[in-house]
Amino acid sequence: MDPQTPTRRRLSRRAFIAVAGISVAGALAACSGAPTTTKHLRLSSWNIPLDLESYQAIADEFVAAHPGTSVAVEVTTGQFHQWFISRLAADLAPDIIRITPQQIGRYAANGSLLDISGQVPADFQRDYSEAFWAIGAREDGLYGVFQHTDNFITYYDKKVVEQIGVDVPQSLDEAWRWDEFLEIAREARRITGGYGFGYGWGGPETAYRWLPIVYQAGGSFLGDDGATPSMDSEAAVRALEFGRSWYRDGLVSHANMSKSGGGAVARDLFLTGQIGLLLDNPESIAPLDEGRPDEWGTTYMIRDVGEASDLGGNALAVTKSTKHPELAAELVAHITSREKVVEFCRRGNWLPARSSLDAGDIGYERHAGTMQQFIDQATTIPLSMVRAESGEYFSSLNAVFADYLDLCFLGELTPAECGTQMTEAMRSVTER
Amino acid sequence: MSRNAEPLLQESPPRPGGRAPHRGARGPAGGAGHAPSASGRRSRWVPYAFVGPAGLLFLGFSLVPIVIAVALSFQDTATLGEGEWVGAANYATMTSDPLLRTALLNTLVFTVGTVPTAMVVGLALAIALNRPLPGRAALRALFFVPMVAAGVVVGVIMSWIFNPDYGVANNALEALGLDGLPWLTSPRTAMLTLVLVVVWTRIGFCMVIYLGALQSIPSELREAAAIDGAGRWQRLRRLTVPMLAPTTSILLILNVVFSLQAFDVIYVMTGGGPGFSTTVLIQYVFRSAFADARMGYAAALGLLLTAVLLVFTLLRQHATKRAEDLL
Amino acid sequence: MTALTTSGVRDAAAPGRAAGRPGRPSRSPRERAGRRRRWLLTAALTAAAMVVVFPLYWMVVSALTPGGQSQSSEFYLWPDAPTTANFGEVFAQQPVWRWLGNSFFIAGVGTALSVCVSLGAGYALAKFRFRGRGLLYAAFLVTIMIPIQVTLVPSFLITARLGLVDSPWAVILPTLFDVVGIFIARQFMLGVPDALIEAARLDGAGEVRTFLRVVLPTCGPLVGVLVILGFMNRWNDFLWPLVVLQGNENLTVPVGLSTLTNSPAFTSPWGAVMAVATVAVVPLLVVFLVFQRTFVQGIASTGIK
Repeated sequence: MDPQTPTRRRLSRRAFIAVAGISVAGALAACSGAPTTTKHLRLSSWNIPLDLESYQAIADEFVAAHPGTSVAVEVTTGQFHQWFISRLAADLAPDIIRITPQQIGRYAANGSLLDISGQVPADFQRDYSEAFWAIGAREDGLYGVFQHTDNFITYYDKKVVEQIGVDVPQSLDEAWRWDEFLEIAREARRITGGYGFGYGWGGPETAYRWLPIVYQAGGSFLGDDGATPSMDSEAAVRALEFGRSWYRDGLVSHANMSKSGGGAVARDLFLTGQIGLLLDNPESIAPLDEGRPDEWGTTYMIRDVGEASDLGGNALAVTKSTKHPELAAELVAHITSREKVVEFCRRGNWLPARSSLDAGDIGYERHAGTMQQFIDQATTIPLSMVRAESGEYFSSLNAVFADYLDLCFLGELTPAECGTQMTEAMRSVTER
Repeated sequence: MSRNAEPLLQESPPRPGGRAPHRGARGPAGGAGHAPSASGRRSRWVPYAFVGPAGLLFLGFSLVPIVIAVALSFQDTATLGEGEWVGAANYATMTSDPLLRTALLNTLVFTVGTVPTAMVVGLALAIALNRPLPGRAALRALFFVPMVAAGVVVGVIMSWIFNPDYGVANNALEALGLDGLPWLTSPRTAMLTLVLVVVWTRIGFCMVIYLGALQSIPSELREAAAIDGAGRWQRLRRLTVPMLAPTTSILLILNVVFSLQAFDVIYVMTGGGPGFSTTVLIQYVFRSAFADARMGYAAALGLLLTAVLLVFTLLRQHATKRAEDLL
Repeated sequence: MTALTTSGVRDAAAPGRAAGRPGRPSRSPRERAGRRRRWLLTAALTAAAMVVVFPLYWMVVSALTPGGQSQSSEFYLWPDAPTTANFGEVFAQQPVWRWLGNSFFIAGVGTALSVCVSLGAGYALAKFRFRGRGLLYAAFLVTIMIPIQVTLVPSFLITARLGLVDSPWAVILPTLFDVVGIFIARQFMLGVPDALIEAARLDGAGEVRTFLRVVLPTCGPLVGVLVILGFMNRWNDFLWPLVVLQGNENLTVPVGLSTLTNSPAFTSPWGAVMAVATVAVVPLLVVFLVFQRTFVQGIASTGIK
């Protein structure tokens, strides 16, 4: 690596002059790589073995078509923000980053990601829903392309549902309304002797997975302008009241809250037969197949006056650390092309972010029906929720959301108090 | 920090007069290879040569980052180098930050809960395992084992064990016919559970350090005390504990440092919840720096943490000195 | 080492024997009571040790349970069908051997160099008077009170500017300065008799020779302690290597582990996580079991007392 000229201003430059004074530093700085004519790109992905293989395979084709380039697929370590902020500060971030919609906003807004609209074919947008395109698109440019998605649907224990004697919704329109669902959950609780259902959070950073409930009630996280906190609206408070009842009535375990850690609590409860229903994403399919094969089924996500489901998945973006921005953007376009998305999703069992693809196009090896339900459900993800989650302040707002959701669910605050205080705390973030 | 060491310090400066003739006779000595006559000058640079590598590393990898962090605490910035100078605004914000107040209180509870407990249990184990017991070496090793596991792993394992619905802790309680406990899921018991877990990771370290200290107590002293007819409890109170005071002092400071900086385990197990019940200062520093991207404020919070530690250390030293003066 | 241990054993047993000296007949019940108490204590300690070790035992059980599903509403201590499938899978999918190798290299080289730095600094701080000594030592000690979250980004920038990032040296070099190590070394060196050093100087040995030939040979236990503590800390070090290492092949074990957890984007395969965690703990356990006695003796003589 050849150290680039410092682009940091003010403080840091002065600090480095001080450091440069140290002889040890000077001696060590001498070791830098030889310049090379090959254009090298680094793509960093979550450490999912199948995905790493897919990326490398797709990148290898790209390299074959672009002589004089090379691509290395690397892994993103834990503690994403800590790692990424440090890397960006030193201009050593990977050229291409696989990043979640909830993470992308800050970096798109603060200049850490590059506008790639010049290299992404214009017809891409036509194959995306407005909501999914909005993840990377900001007013001043395109900062990422959504590659694959996932969301929440309802898993059910076949035996439990049979005993309750309820019909399972066969289409999005028939999806269980809140009242219906609570009734079924109460029955399920009676049958399992444990709880009614579980919700698929995965640690404190995933509190946002509950936002669909707010949107189902007709509420919104941030108002119509996408900036004003609005968790104190009547609809939002009604959602909080609904959530509070889960815990008050013993339908959901207290261990199953966004901040409580140690893996996938809801899934484990389902696997151990302590709940009859599970609202979760496609990642539960494999463990359920292993732990309780053929004992479960799936239907659509619950709904109320509105429909909504969780916004999962990842976008690909080009960072400002890259020395070959155009090439990197071309690679992003290549990986997110229709053909490659099919390949990637088939292999990794992901849902395509492109609207024109269904389960048949992908050719999933297993559970094609369930995968199609997920794909259908993806259309219910509201645009305003996507805007809110991929906004500039979302990681801060998400932390606030997690805190107050806890307080409401535990009964430490009434839903109304929670709505007011949460909104206030959110405002102190957005007006910072 | 060990009292009897100080006189050594006073005597340690080399006395050039006594050495000169010999050195002259043997010519340039060892790796130093400098003119023998320059012994005065030489003794002046020698300590710097020995401490030099540590000093340079300290300068480059500790001092400079700290100076930058201090500078950051006077800025409003998301990333380094692009901040605006805002004077003491970050420090002013701290005074009216309700979450900080909660975090400080939780930090106090957590520290007071973990530190003395870990030390007392560690001391008790050390005393017990300093006796000629069968299988002593194996027992020592077993108590030490928790120290070697990474924080993230401890967090996950403990979350499983203490899960109220399928965790082995409640399963065991129920198998004994008792009621399960809510452990991490209630604001009233979460902190206690965390303290328990952190004490668990810490007792081995305290035990080992105390064991070492116990073995350095001259056996004549204990024999003398025994002959004087001092009972076991009296020997512990009058002889062992006072003899261990310097160790206790060091362990106390180290444990406080560990407790104030305990991050991974809490992050994984409760994420600071339920509600704010386990949000401690270091969590809040992390959150400000990386979730909120407020580097300046995070730096100010981090320095507050450092200041708390420094004051604690100085008070502690002051207290020790006064106790010594009284003796 | 053996001498010290046996003397410790003797004097701990001594009081009882001294008190029970009067004659053979009266000694026997007394000794029996003592022995019974000793066995009771051992039994109690063994029970406590079982509780203490249990969580790590549970880690191993989880690693041996299919799919990592050691969660159950039934009480059990050993899985019905233990399997090494988690190990097989994670070793096949992730470069765990490389992680282990990197960890050994970084912890090994880092510890070796850092022990040298600490010995030198400890010697200077304990045995010389020089301008700025007090200030320097105080400044050293203050650094352990600063949380890494605050200095992480500045430190990373410096390391990056030195062109070290992505090489193992980016982990090794900045962590060579080890305050606790220097502290322990200084404490120990304070106890090295000045007369010994003076004698060497009188014999005309140079400073380096005095240090290497006279001071260092008395530092055996100190080096033992520094090596064990240093190796352990480096082996488990997490946040720093996390930001400076890149590429799955170049990670250390804890960082590799973190790529499998801590991600909001996908749920962790906990069976695999526990398998890697088990693999990570074993080397340290072996190191500690082998050096346990040396370690305790070393601490006894380092002057943390």
